[in-house]
Amino acid sequence: MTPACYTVADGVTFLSIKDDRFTTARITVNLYAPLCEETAGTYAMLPFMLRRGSRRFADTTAFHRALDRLYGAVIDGSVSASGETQILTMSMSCIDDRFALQNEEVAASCASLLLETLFDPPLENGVFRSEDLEEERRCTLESIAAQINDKRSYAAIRCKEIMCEGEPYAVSKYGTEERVKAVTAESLTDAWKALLKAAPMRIIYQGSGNGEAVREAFAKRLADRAVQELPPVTLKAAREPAVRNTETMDVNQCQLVMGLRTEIAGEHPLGDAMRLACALLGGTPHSLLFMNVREKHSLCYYCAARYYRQKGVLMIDSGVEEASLQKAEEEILRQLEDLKNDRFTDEDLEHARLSILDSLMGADDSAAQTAAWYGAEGPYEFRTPAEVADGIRKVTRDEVLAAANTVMLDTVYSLIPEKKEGAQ
Amino acid sequence: MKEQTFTLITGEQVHRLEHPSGLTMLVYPKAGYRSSYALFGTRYGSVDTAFVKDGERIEVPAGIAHYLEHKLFENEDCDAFQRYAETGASANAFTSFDMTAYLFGCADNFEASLEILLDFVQKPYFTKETVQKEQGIIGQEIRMCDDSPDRRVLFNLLRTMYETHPVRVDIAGTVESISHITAELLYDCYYTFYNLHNMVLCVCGNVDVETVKRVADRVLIPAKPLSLDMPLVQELKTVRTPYAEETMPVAAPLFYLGYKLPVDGMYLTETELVASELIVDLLTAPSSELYTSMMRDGLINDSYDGELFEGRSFAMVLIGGESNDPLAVQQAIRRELSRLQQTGIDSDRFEELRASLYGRSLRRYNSVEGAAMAMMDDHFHGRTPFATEAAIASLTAEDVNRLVREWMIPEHEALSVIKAKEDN
Repeated sequence: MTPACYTVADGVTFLSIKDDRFTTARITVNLYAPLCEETAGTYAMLPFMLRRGSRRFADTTAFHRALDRLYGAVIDGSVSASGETQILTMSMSCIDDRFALQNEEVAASCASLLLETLFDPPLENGVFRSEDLEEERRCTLESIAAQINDKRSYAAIRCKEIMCEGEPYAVSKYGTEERVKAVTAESLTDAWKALLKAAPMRIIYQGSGNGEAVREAFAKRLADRAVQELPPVTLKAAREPAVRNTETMDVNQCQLVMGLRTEIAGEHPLGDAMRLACALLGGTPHSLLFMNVREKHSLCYYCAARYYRQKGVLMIDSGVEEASLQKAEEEILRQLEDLKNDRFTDEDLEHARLSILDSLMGADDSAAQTAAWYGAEGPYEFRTPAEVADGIRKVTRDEVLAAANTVMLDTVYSLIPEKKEGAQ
Repeated sequence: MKEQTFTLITGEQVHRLEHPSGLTMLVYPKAGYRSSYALFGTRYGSVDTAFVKDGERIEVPAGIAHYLEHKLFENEDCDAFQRYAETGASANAFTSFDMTAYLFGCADNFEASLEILLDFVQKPYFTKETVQKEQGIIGQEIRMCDDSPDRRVLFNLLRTMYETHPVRVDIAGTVESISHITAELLYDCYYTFYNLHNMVLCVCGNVDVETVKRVADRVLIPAKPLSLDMPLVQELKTVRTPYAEETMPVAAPLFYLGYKLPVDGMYLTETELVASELIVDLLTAPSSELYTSMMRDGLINDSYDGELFEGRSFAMVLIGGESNDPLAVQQAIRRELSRLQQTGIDSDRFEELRASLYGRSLRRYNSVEGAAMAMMDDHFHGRTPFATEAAIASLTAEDVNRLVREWMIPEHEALSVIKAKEDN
């Protein structure tokens, strides 16, 4: 299903996806900002502030009760990072009008509420209210601290920070503790105004209507703006030899994370080949890593590779016993060498291709997944899942090899158990 | 073949077929979808800690249902993942407290993938060597779970709430318990519980009844009639002990507050189920005064959430998240419950939360995965497909008040806390 794409204001695209298969309607607003240490903390707090309510519903409880009455409609704010871009998202999802029990216009009411949260938040003396700010500051700081709880994702964050130290890519989507602590009602209000004025934006409408009224409402609100474009992503060569870093924690299992650099990012012509190479290496339960590190050597429960196209980085992770750490690393590198040196069968390649194609062909069937897809594509251009599938179909074995041969190990990070007191 | 049709609130239909082999099949075609999802499940999970063979009751090691799930992927001649690689389907499996399911999602080649699913689950192949090989893999899965504070806080709660019910035993078992698993024990469990009369196939998406019948006729091997002895567990109505704690490397304490619900018979009734869900919302929704005041007091953050957690002969209301003072959260919830016990739920509030429940129930139809899961849950829990909507429509405030008065009482309550290790 190809979205209809409109430019509704300077730097703002509106994608309309008319789809009556779902019981819900959905609007997603993405604002794109350069990921940078100075601003990330302030920007990260914005979606959380905005989702609290609006001038009309200045009381958060009253705002949420209104949403309950609208059949449990959801207005949410979130922050994510893609490549060196920070993405601030406000979204609304509610039941489609045809399921309203008293013929209410649920979708239109919810769309208005979303617009209000974005453009008409509750302010005091022209700035965000300090009690709201303090609550969201506490929650953001607690979210930053809580990243340590999930050891697999914590280890991935640490590897990224070590590999890309000094690059915007290493900056957390939440920013740093120090910056979040320094946010004031004034600086946050300024950031809100500046982003609405200048950040590239993509708005996605999905529902049984054509979203025209929603599009017009956004166009009206965004009439006066001048966009500031995002800087391009920088590619760096892998360090040689690779940097090794080991940290300890009171854990039972070691986390092994390997950070690798490629020469292929963004719209590079070998982008689809890289996607396929990564799936072949470690993207499926029949990939080289799964079949060897897990199934053949029984070293782990998971061992997976993921390619981050926007930055041209590839990450491999696995959870292993400390005694198997070296063996797992060697085995992972052996599989990477096999991939680079053409030691895989045509069947392996076709299986990986089929697996990617199958997931792309079904991508339209989930409204949330579709919104995430077009959000991650960035503010302007986009490829549909079907177009990417066409690209994947055309990739040759030689192109896979060419892509794979740009992959170089940069960082090996291990999180290992602390030595217990009294142990030898 | 006996066939029954249920019309859903969306106007779509679910077909229930009793295949001559003994298998119940639920088929939910979704117009306009490219993808499909299939679940082949058995009423067998970690709570099934014993079985009867030749009149003798045999206790099995903890974690065996989950171990069996892993090993079933390996047939004599081929690994199921390798077979799925030919169709492009994305396959997986899971074991819960009271069921085990094998699944795949696909955009193309549904018939071929369904054939693989129904075929490999009927062909167990366990040898000393293949069982041995899995020890390392599952050992690492258990280690991963040991390091997961979210999982520890839940299982610690279950152990403190329940005295004899096997829901208190970890689904994956321990590294020690799985070392006692043998090929012979796996065969015994397989032939006891993987009888088609004890199983269900749920499919949803780009599917039709004829295709499913055709594959079933071709692949299913008729099963002997089955009389499984699934005794009701004798369990205390009250909690075993009201508090459990453990220290782990987390940023701030995590907690679960649980209310043990009495289950007469195997499962909650539909009215009890939706009334309990509404109680969860009363205590956790951002539209509640309780939520707002705990947020303001710094007691909870975004992670605060609740759910109704139920299965064969157990059910509980769970409320959890991160908090610097879980005991204060417990006190605040107790005060709110005590208020509700005295005054009952406000009628406007009841209608708001009921509207919200209705809206949330509609969202289940949006994804083929969610719909197939809902059908399997409903089937194994003795409910007709999607029957809870009718229970939401007929729910009364008095239903909720009665359960708040009788169930949400201190004797049913337990708190599990993961404390933060001081030095991180």
